[in-house]
Amino acid sequence: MKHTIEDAQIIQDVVDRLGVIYPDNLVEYDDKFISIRNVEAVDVPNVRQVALDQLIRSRYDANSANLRNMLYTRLLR
Amino acid sequence: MSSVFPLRFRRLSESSLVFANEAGQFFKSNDRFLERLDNEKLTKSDQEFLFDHAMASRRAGDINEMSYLHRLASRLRPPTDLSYVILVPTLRCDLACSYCQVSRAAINAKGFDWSDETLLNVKSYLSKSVSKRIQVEFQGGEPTLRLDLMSQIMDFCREHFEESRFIICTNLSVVNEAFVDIISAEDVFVSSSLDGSPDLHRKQRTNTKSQTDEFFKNFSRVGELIGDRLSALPTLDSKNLPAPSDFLDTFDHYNMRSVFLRPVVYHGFARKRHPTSKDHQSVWQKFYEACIYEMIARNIGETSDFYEEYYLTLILKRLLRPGEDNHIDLRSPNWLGYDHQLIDYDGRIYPSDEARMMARTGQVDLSIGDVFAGLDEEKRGALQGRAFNALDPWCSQCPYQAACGSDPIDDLARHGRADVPKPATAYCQKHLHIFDFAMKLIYSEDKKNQHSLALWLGLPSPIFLGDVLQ
Amino acid sequence: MIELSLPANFSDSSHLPFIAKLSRIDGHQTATLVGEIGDELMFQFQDLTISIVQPVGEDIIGDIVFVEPAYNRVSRWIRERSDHNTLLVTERCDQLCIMCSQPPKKSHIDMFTFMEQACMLAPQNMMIGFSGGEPLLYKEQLFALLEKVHTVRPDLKFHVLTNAQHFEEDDVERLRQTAFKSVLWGVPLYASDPSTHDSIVGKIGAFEQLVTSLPIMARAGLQIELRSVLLKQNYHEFEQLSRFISSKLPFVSVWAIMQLERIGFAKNRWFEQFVDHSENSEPLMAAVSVAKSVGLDISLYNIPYCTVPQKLRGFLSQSISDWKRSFPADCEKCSVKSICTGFFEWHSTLEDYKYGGVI
Ligand code: SF4
Ligand code: SF4
Repeated sequence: MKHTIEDAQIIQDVVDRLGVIYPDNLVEYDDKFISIRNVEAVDVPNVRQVALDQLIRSRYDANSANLRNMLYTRLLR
Repeated sequence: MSSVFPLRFRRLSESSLVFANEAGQFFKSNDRFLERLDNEKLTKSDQEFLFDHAMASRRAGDINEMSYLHRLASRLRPPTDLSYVILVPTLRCDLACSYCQVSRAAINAKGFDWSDETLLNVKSYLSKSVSKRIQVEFQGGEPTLRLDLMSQIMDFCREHFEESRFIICTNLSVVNEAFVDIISAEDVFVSSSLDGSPDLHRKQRTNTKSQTDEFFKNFSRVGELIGDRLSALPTLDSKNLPAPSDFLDTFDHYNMRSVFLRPVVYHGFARKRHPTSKDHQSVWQKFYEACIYEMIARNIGETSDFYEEYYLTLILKRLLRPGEDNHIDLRSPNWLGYDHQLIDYDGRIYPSDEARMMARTGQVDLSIGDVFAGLDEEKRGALQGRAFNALDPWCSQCPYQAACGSDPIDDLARHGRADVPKPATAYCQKHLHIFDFAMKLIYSEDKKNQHSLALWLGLPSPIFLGDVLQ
Repeated sequence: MIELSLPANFSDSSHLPFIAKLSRIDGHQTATLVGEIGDELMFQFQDLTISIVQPVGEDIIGDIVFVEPAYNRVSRWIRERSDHNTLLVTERCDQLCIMCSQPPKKSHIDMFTFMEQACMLAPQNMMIGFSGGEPLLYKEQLFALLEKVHTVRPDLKFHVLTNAQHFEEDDVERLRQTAFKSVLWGVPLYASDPSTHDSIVGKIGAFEQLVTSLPIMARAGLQIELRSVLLKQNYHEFEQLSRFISSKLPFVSVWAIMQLERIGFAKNRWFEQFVDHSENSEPLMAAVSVAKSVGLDISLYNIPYCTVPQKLRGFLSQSISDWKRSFPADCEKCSVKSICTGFFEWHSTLEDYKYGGVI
């Protein structure tokens, strides 16, 4: 996976979540790469997609957290 | 520049994704849009689309922000007074169904009925807790073994509340004159079980041919007497599913075209005897979809008396209409033990039927008080921790969160803990499947599908229910 | 025909105008019935004797009337036996709708004191309408009236028909008070395309102003009834309008869709404005379907039962006013007459519709 990921918290979140989604595989992060071990060859494209999606999801989530909080604050006014 | 109300996404297929925000507005798009969203490089036409669909605002307090906040607020229902109560006047039953080990006692057993004192306390508890309207569901055991208790409760409710409605859940193995008398009232509804075909019904339930014949005779008779105040829930076992068309034929034979499809839930010992595996889930999902497609095929041209699956219609409404939240298994916040309670044969109060099952099997005691000493606020309070799915780390990334619900008791019952990560729960897997399926129908170009969607939602004509951002 | 303005004779025509309730028994601010001569009713209000000719087939006892001795006139402001009483706040308006049923005038006479008195005398739980012209041109007075009446008569409900051009951010706090919980605000919206809407209401920028006002109203928690009239000018855009409302205005309580009434400006411009939905019900069907899909409450008014397809009939509401209780002769044989909308006495015909007729 070619994404460089700066934010350690986002990475940790992605790794944790992939661990839940793939409980039987070992999910790790080492220096710029997230790896998921023991994936059967046929499943690789699918797993790659899930991992990529999760990365975007976690990153977008982190980026939009402020806006989400702000909207809740406005809701309570 | 506009700010886009935070979106969540999920892949519907290799090339298409559904996006939705926390207020429940959704649309379909593709990976290119996802990339633009991720890189914060939305095009002018992306922004216009989002603004036109009220999913982005141009300034604080503008019309789109107001509509977003309004939708969000209408999905945040505060807890309300008790209005739906399940009563278990007796735990005894005259049948012994294969999946029902824990919610019954033998027909002659002692100490499994409400005592006079319990009855008295149930009444005073209801008069204290219910404000205006009440729906009472009688369950058992077999509640018709205690017609006397039922009619006392009915009289009491009719006298004390502005509006009452009663649902008797019965196996209909005995229909005598006293029963016929009770169900002749317009505010009484009967709910029974019908397993798809006589053959299946016997296997799962009645055991002998004579009992089976008796059931079908009674079922027809009650149907003739009370018409559509009679309904039936199928008990479907993923190891033993009927053919969708036979199944619908059986229900149609009794003029029942609105069906609630769900696989039987095993409790306690029965769960060990009937484990449900991933395979069973996919068998079930195939059956479910096949039934829906069979319904759709039969709905051609039909306008008033159409086939529908109760839960799918509910899911569609929840997807499209904020504030549609009267189903206890599908709402968030799901305040447990407020508007919906169960009073057991011994006077104990539970937040739901499933909660009492767990107490019975010794898994965990989720009672929130009893009719003698009243509600235990502390115990009830302790249940609310997971009532709100927007606070769940998984749901809050899920496009279906606004429409989905939260059912911590189900999580507890099936997985032994309430803090299982959502994707690992049966609840989430089931709902993801139905939501994905609903999206598939919404975005299908098949006229037949659109026709049925319009019928289910009560629309005069089919329309596009979901937008697409190219 | 309901007679609203009754000729009357007075013992003293120099008496100042006032509000009174016509009554058989003496009470607070009543003009009390003291005699009947033929169809002439004699009332006593303090020292003043009033004689009114009872209109045929109508009971005026219980009505709240505005009495103008100088003009020999008694106006029935609140009819006790009607659900459709509307007080005219002003005849001035800052819009000029092409089909206006009550064409505006330049002049204005302030009647707030009298309107307030009339409301105070109204029967229990009545819904009283305020319309114009544009009532909110006199926003301060109207708000004050609603507040004042509410403190004394919390049982009353109000309907204010307004073009919603005059709500401001600063009104929010005030409008959040309980007095305004008993008000339903009827706001016309004719198209989601700003230029279509603006040209129908005869004011450039009206749509933009509406889009600014509506969220203010929503934030104040006001109950909003959107109103849209079917016209040649907007019918083809009706589905779009419905999509606009469905996505941007989830906070409205109800959407009233109405067929044009042959009254006011529409009378002389009938053929330029009236659109026969029976000939092409698609836009109406689609609009209703879209709104219904998101759970919006929809009511169709002024639409004869027989002129719409079966699937739309469940959305029809009965007449919006008791002015329309007339039916063409053919309808006598019709099985659904009792639930059908009525017609104006002076335009009681189905001939505008290509399809329709006795069911
Ligand atoms: S339970 Fe599953 S489907 Fe429902 S909102 Fe949560 S993550 Fe989505
Ligand atoms: S025939 Fe007359 S009464 Fe019957 S539906 Fe048509 S307009 Fe109404």
